[in-house]
Amino acid sequence: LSSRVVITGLGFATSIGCSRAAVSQSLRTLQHGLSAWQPAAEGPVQLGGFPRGFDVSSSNPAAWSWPEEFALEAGTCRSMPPQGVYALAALEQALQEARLSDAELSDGLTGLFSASAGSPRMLHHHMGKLEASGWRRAHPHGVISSVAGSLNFHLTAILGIRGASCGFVSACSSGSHALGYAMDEIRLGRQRRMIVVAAEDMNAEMALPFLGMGALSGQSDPRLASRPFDRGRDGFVASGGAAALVLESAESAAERGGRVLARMLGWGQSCDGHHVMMPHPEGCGVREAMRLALRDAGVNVGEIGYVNAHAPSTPAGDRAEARALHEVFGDQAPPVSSTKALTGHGLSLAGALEAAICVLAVDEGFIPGQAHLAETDEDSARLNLPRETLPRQPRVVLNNNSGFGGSNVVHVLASAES
Amino acid sequence: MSATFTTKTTAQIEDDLLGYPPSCVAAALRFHEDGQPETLFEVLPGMIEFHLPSGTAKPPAVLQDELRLGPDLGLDSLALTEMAFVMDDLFGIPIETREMAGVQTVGDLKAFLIRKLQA
Repeated sequence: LSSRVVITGLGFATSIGCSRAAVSQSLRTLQHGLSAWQPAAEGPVQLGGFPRGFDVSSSNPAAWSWPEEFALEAGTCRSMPPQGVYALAALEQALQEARLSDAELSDGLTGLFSASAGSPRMLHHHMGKLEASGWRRAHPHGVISSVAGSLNFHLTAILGIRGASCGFVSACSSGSHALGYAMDEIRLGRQRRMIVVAAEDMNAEMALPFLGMGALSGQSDPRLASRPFDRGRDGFVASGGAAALVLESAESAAERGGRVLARMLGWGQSCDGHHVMMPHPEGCGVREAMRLALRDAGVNVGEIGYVNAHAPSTPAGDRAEARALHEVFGDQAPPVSSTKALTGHGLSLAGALEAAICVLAVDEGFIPGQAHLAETDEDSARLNLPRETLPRQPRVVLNNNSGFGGSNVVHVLASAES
Repeated sequence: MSATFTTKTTAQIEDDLLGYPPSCVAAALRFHEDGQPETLFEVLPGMIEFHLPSGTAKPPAVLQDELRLGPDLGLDSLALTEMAFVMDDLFGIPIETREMAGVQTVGDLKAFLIRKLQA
C-alpha cells in the first residue's frame, strides 16, 4: 500500500440539501431535513427524509421530476431505480467539483463503486405485473430498475467507466464499505481515481419493513423522532437520497490541479459475530473497527478531533456505540455527534453521506453539533456531545457506521493541510 | 379485424403512455377503439421516438417501410423489447421477445404486427 488518497469532489441529494452549500448550512445551523410523508402516512410512521425538489414516488418513471438545476435526461432515467436519479444529481456535482473530464472517466484508471439496497418499490411493481400476466410478460427494465447493484449497471454505462466496478450490500454499512474498498483500489495501485456513489430509495416499500423489528420512530415531531444519544429516543427516521465522492491518488490530484478537500488516511472493519439484527451490547465490534482504522491510518486517539457516530437513534445501537466510544477514548473524548438527527438514517447511503459530511467539516472548519439532544442517558453522558455546531476545524476525524449482522466500518479522514 | 384488447380504460392508457408524444397517445386510444392495423401503424413513430436511447436523433414523422430499425432509426434490442412489452401490456397483443428476432425494418415490424393481430 503506497499511494496517498485524497478526496477532490463531493455531491449531495439529501433531505438537508442538494448542494454542498445547502448541506453545510444545515449542519452549521442544525436545521433538520425531516418531513411528513406525502401523501400523509396512515400507519404509525409519520416522518421521513426526502431529498428536496425530487419526486420519484411513481412506479412509472415518466412521472418523475427533479430540480431544474440538474441536467438529467428523462430517457436516461427511465430504466433506473428511483434512487438512480438522486445518484445522478449527486454525481453531477461531484464530477464538476473534481473537474474530471470525460476522457479521464473512460481511461480505465477510474473506477466506480456504489452502495444501494436496490428498489423494493420497483421490484414490487414489476413482480406484481409479472404475476398478473401469468408469469409470462416481464418488463425489460424489471431487473435493472430494481435489484441491488442496479446503480453500478447504470452509472458505469452512463459515465463510460472502464475501470473497477462493484456494488456493495452490507445493510447500513454499505456506503462505508464502498468508500473503504475504493480507497484500497487506489492504495493498491489498481486505479488512480475512484468514484463512490451511495443512494437509497425512500418510500413505504423501503422504509416500513423496519416496523417489523421495532426500529422506526413513531414520533411526528422531527425533534423528537430522530434524537441520537437522547434518553427518550424510540427508533430511527428512514431517509433517502444520494451522496457522491471522488477519490484519487495524491499524485493524480496534483497532476490534474484538482483541489484537495480532504485526505483519507485509513479505514477498518470488523464484525460483532453476535446477532443478525442487534449490535453487541458493549459495542465490541465497532470498538475493534475504530482501533483497526486508527492503526491503518497511523494516528492515535489523541489526534482525533471529531467523531461522526453511526448512532441511528435506536436505544440498542446508540448505547453500544456510546460504550465503544468511551472504551476507545476514555475521558478524553473528542466531540461526537450523529448527523442522522438532521438527515434521518439513509441506510446504504449513510456511510458515504456521513463521510462526505466529515469532508465538509475538515474542509470548511466546523464540528457538527448533536441536534435534538435534550437528556443523555448513563452511556451517552460519558461522551462529549456538543449541543451546537462548533466553529473550529477538526484536523483528523472518524466516521463510524454499523449494519445488520454487526458489520462495522470506520474511516479516518483528515484536512488537506494537516 | 380486431385485436384481443385489454380492459384498460382511457385513463389507464393515458397513464401508461405518460411522456409519449401526444400524437402517439391519440393514435393508441383510437386503435383501442377500432383495432385497425393502419391505426396501430400511426402509433409507431411516437412509440419509436419514446423508446429510442438518449441522444438518438428524432425519427421522421412518416416511417418508410425500408427504414432499418437499428442502423437507420437507432433502436437497440432493449428498446425493441420495451416496445413489444408495451404492445402486449397495452393492447393485448401477445409478443414473445424471440418472435421479433427477424424484424429488421419498419416494413418487417408492420407485417409482424398484422400477423399478430390476425392470429
